[in-house]
Amino acid sequence: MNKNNILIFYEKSKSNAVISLIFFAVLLIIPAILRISSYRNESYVEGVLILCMMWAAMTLSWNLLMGYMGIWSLAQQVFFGIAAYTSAMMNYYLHMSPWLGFIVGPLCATLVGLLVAIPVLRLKAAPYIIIATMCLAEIVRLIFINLVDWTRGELGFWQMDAFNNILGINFNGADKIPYYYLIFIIFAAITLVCALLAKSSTGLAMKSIRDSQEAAESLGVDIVRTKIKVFLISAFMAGFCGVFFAHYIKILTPTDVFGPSMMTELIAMNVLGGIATIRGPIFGAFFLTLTMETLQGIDSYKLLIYALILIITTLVLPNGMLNSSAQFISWINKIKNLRLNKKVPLTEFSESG
Amino acid sequence: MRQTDYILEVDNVCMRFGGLMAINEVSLKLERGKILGIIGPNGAGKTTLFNTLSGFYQGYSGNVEFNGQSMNGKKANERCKLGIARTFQVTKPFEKNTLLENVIVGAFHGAKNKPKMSDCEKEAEDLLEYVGLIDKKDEYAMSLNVAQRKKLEMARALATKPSLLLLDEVIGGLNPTEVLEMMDVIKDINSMGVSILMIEHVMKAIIGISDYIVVINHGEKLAEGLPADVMRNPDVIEAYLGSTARRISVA
Repeated sequence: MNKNNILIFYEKSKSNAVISLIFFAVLLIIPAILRISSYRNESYVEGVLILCMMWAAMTLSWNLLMGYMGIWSLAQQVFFGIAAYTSAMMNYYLHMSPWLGFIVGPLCATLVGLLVAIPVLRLKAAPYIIIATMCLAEIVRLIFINLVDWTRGELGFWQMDAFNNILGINFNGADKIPYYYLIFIIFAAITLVCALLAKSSTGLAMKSIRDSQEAAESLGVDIVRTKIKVFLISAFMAGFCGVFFAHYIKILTPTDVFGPSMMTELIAMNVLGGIATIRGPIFGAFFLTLTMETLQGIDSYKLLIYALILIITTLVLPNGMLNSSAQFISWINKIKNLRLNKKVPLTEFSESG
Repeated sequence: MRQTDYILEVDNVCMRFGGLMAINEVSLKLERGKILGIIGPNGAGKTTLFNTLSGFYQGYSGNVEFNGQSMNGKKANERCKLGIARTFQVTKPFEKNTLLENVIVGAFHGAKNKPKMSDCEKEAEDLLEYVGLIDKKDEYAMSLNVAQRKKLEMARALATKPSLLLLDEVIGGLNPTEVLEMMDVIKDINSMGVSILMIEHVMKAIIGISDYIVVINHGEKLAEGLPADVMRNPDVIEAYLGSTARRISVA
């Protein structure tokens, strides 16, 4: 098999769909398996998986902007936080059902997305976009800290209502299964939308904008419309995760949801798994979250290992773990060459040259 | 009624960057179905002219008329949909997309009405075959060499079904065999009814295929005429080779 065949197999294999179906099916039946087996600590495992799926959904939403369209927006947590706060405030002040938050929260996030998109459209190069969006996130954080009358400042909101019972399903938190399947549905929906979007004509436009805005424009791609569209979709998705977070974790402080730490996580997960793919962010989110949970025991060394993983991946596999077929091929070739070179020592060439 | 059918009429176009007059009152006309060559020394404003024509630079003064319709205020993607396609001097392939995807972008987004994706794919394959890159259609565009990149840009531009093609130095940087190939491709495109406006430095090529030539120097139109006449124009010789050359040629 020559190099091209391997590349094509790696990129376009139809087994992708099968693999993702299996992945989702396994996620779907994990709670059942945990209960059938004699494993006692099922709600802990479910809790970890809930976090995994939430992070994966968030990373996917950011991947649309950064991976597919090349817009280095570092304000994804703003959409997340705005939606979370909207839902929490509606619940706290107006005693509205958290389910309503799922409608209003993402819409507010989308509105903020529009407000971010318009100035960002005028910026063409990555550094300016990074500066602008980072500042935006910081401004929003400061606003939420200082508008104490409305947002209760650093005190934040806590003990929001859980989701109301619906169809006899109890969301009181004693059993994690309802939350598990709620985030599962959100995660699966976001994955599906991202996958469809990436394959659609919009996906094509997004990728062309990433590689060259001028060329894309000269070929008839409406840059402004595509960018705004993707910004809105991305913000809407992040908003969904935010509302879920608000009523699942039930603690919201400005530093938590608007601080830069969440964005750093998203970048780490996305870069680790591989940008501009669907499986990359999912893999990155699951890998990092699960690793960190496994390392809970050696708390003080946890972050050291986290950093090491990131540094090694960026050095060795700069395209991400799932995106490095070319890298693997070149390694294989190098190893082959090494074997060949043993028969013909390198020194002969260097001396004669 | 007009005597000749002009596809592109550029009337007194000026483009200014701060204090620099990049293009100063350039006017030119391109007859439908013909090839117009633009030549001029480096920095003369040829590419700037292309950027104004294709809509990348807004805020020029003067008038650009395409198919009898004023293009002023229309953005690049709108002009593309109307039928102006261009290539870039410094090629800009979508490096992390496959060749096929590169061309499909043009076929889908450059079309006036939303076409079917499967039709676009078919069309893109045909075009890649036409420029001779079909066996690389699933490779990433970053693996291409200069000649292949230029061919890809041509295919991409053709995918938008243009009636006017702006070629910015598609021949420069190619080896002699590739130059001949590219000249044939350009003639062939032209014979399919696409009017062509091209910038080129390779004199042999542009003299060989242009029907008419415009010379630009320091942002102004220096001369225009049939290729053979332009070559003998003393002003043109001076602009290219300096005043000594003029004296020699006159003597």
